[in-house]
Order: sequence, then structure tokens, then C-alpha cells
Amino acid sequence: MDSRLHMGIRSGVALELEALHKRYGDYVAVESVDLRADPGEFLTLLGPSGSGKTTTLNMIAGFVTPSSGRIQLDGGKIDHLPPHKRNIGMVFQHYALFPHMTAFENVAFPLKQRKCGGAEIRTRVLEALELVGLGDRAHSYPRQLSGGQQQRVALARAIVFRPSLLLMDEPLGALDRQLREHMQMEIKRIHVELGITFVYVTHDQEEALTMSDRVAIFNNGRIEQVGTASDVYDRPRTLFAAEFLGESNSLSVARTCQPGIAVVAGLDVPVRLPEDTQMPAGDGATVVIRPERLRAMPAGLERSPGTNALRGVVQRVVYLGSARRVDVEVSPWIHLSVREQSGMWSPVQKGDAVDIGWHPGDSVLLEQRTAPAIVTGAA
Amino acid sequence: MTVAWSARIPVMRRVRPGRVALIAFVVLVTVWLLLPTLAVIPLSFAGAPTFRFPPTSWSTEWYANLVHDGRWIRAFVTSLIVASLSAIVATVLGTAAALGMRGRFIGRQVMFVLLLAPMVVPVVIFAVAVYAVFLPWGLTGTLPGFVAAHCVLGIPFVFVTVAAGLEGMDPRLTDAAASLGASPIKAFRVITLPLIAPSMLTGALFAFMASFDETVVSIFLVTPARRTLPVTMYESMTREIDPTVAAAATVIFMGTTLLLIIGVLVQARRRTSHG
Repeated sequence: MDSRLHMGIRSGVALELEALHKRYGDYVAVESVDLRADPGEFLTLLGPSGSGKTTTLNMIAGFVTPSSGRIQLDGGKIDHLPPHKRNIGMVFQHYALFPHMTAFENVAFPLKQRKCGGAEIRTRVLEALELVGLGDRAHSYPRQLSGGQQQRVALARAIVFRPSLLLMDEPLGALDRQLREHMQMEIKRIHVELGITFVYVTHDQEEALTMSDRVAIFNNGRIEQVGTASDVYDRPRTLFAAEFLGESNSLSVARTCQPGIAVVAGLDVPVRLPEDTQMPAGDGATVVIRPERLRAMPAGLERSPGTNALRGVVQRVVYLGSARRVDVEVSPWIHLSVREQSGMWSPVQKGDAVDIGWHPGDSVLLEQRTAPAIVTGAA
Repeated sequence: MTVAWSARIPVMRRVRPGRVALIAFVVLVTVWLLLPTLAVIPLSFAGAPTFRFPPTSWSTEWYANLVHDGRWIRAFVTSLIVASLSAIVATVLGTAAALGMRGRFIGRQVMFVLLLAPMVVPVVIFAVAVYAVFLPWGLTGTLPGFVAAHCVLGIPFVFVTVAAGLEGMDPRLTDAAASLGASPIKAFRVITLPLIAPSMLTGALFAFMASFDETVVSIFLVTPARRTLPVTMYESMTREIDPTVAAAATVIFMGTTLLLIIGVLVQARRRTSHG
């Protein structure tokens, strides 16, 4: 049965944030955020705590009044509407289920506010509970449900009134790892089934990469980058984006007169950059390479032409289960990490001299941080 | 053998001397606190009009006296009305104060001290002040006067219990209700109120008690036409030697014990249903 037709939920609408600001006295929580979620899109706001992502979500929901800027839903301004008139579903971090009501009564709550009839409420509540796989727990109180089940009730409650936009505030933060991965798939499935627009807040980069159509990376109240998961992971536009998402190696480099070639600071070793790279203004820049894009080989072996190489000594080999991490000291101030998938380990061991190689296309040149960067290995 | 030994060890631990001493001490303190109060019970059944303890003969004369003497009945009814109204007013105001004191704002600390002040200020001082203000307004000896003075004494109890109840409530519940379409008033009525109702009830009980056994302020406010039970008891003690007051005390003692047990049960039920 096509549950989207069955539940009669219309598909999502576009959400637009324009120059959104939120100040608390002198403290700027959110600064000129421009963001658009397309109808039916799964958009994730990703960032560390205090980066402004939750404040942004609360402004969309109406719990926080923006200092300036505009919020539009389906082309209409909603800034002036109180939260209870916005018709936006929201799943809270700690579920916020009403403890004195059963799962059924919790899910029925939004329908009662909309003056639905008893029979209709019954059908729709049971459908929503069925959709999240909790049809048999309708008469349990929240305290009788596990964390994962409470989360499902919260989700059912937020979608049962057919909102065109669903906000989720770190909904999986309180769950253990296995359950979290399972719920990620469940939320994804429900997103596809309902076709409504999702705005999802998390600080978990893995969650963001696996679930989202697009990711907006927040830092210090601003958006650093917006793009698809592979956009932001493979082509980070700022050092923060590169380091916050996954692990990364950064190398301070200096410009040279030759285009497409930079020199590693302090080593005078040239590195090739992707062909279309523009050297940023200023003296220094940083080259970022993902650990899984690096290859470690015993020193002195012939390497394929056109690749970059740095020689160093293996300091540490860390076993990670599905992979291992080889930490290499290139110089006292340059450390690189190489990630090798299980079954593809190189023969190098701790103490070996190694050549670290990578394809020029796998490096990304970024503007230097304001402070002179001390080059480090994996974050 | 091994099984028998391992099974006995916890039993031996449970009866170690420190614990025995602790239990003995608790019993002693309980007796110390309760015994003087309990002494009025045999006194109320005394056969002679004296306060001799223990009584040498027995009767229920004083209970009959209590029921037939209109003075006692009137005082009891007055106290009941004053205490009920004070509890209601204190519960409304104390709950409103607890709701208003959530979050941070300038002057919160000052407000906090002011709200708890009636618990700290010596009652005599409060009584003199109330008398001085109420006399020119013609409030002494009136029902509104009693309720206004007594509810002030009850507010801190309600404020403290309801504030504790709100503390235990997820602050995002009202946000959740709003996101689901409930107006602020609706959210308060359907979500907040049911969740803090047990705290309000407990606070109301305390406020009722605070008014019901209030003596000092009442002594200043009474008129011959309207006196409360504690004042009547006090006057009975000072003007006549008559164990009727012991009978009244016993009735009140039983009543208040019952109320406190209800209060404890309500608290316990709340703990099991939200714990």
C-alpha cells in the first residue's frame, strides 16, 4: 500500500531563510543566514554546539524571534505567526512526550487541537503509529517505552497532522549507536514515504552525511558551506568544513611562481594541486587531504609519475576494526595520517621509513586560517 | 554448607550494632516529638474537670460539651471556612508566582526572598503590622480580613512545592504543545496544569494547615462575633479550666493527621507515576 496516498499527506513545501540574524545583547547567535530547503528535501544543519544551528531551527519553529531577517514557508512570510499557528511539525531532542498521556493520546493531541472527529482521530493516530512501527504500543505511557520507542511516538505525533515541514532537533542524540543507525534508516524511509520537507539538526557528521540531500555546515552563527554530502566532504570550501567533517590532514603551503604547484612550508617540497586550482591571495594557504586518499609505501619504491610524495617515519599504527590508521611524522611539525581499509593494508609497520603518496586531484587548497597554522595530523 | 553460609552473611550484616543504635535513636526522637501531643488524648477523656495527668476517672463529657456548646462549633466552622478560602487564594497566587519565577530576569533573587519572607518574618511582627493596616480599613474581624492575612502565610508553601514540581517538568513540553497547534492558554490547561496538579494539591494542604492552626495573627483579628478555633482554645485555656479544649485538640489532631497522610500519599503517587 502506498502509505503516502493512504495518509493523504501533501508533499513538502519550500522553506526560505533570508538574512536571518539573532542577537542576545552583544552575543550574536546567528549571523546573516541565507538558506533554502526545496520542497521534499532533507536538509541537515550540521555544526558543533553553540554554532547557531538549534537557534536557527527554533526561529523556524517560532520559539525564538529573529532580530532581523525573513522566514518564508511555501512563498509566504511566517515571521509574525506564533508557533501554534505555523503548522510545522517538530521532533525535540528529548522527545518532549506528554508524560500523563498514552502514546495514543500523545499522537492524538495535534488532531484534537484541529477539532478532528473521534473516528478520524482514531484512524489517523493508528496509521501514524503503524508507520513508525508502534501499532501495538498505543496504550503505553511514555515511561513504559524505551528511548527508541519514545522517539518513534514523538515522530508519529509530529507528522500525524500532515505538516508540510518537519523540524528535528538532534532527535537521535540520546540513543545508543546501534539504535541510532537503525533510526537513521527509519527516518530516511519515512521521509521518502511522506515526501515532506525535513530540516534536521545534528552535530553528528556521519548522521548528516548518510541521511541528507544537502548539508549546511554551521560555525559561529554562520553557514560555512551548503551542499550535497559529497560536495561538502570531497570539496570543502573552508578549513573548518574540512576539519569538522570526517578526518583530514592539513599542510601549510607557500605559493610558487608556477601555477598548480605549491611548496610545503618549511620543507621546500613541491606538491601538485588539482589543475583548476586558483591560489588564494596572501602568502600562505593550506592543502587538505583526507586520510583515506593517502597511500603509505615502504620508502624508496618507485612511484607513479605525477603523484605527490612526502617521506616520513611511522610513529604509530592504530587498529580501528574495519580499517587502520598509520600516523607518520614527516618533520617535527608535520604529521600525516593514512587510513587503510581492512584487507588493503600496506606492509609498513611502526618505525618504518615510508613514502606517503597521493593524487593531486585528491588535495583541496584552502585559505590559511588567520592564525599561522601549526600543521597537525588527523583531527 | 557453603550455600548455607553465603546465605547467612547478608542477614548478619543487617543486624549490625550501628543499625540497631540508629533505629533506637529514631524511635526515641519520634516518641520525644509525639508523646506530648498524644498526652491530650487521655486528658480529653478525663472524668473530672481538671488537667491532672494521668486522669483518675474517665468520661466522654467533654466531647458532648464540644458538640453542644455553640461557641466551639461556630469557631470550628469559621476556621474551616477561613482555612479553605485562604488555601484556595494561596494556591492560585503561589502557583502564579512559581510560574512567573521560571527563567532568568532582573530582580529574581529579590522576588524570591520576598515570596519566602512570610516564612521567616516573626509572626508577631506580621500580626501587629496586619492589625495596624486592617484596623483603619475595617478589615479586622471580617472574613476577607482573615483570608487576606492567612493566605499570605500560606503562599510560601504553595510557591515552594509548585516550583519544585515545575523543576521536574521538561520545559519543552509547552513548546511541543505549541508546535502541535495548542495556544498558550490551551497548553497550560492541558499540559502544565495536570502535571503540576499534585504539587498544587500538596501546597494547598500546607496552606490550609498554616491557616487552620494560625493563632497569633488571629488573636489580633478576632471579634466576639467571629473567632477561629485556635483562638477559642487559647481563651478556653486561659479563662477556664475545662478539658473541653483537650477534646477539641484531639479532634484537630486526628483531622490534621488524616490530612498529612493524604498529602504524603499524593506525593508518593506522583513519584511512582512520573519516576
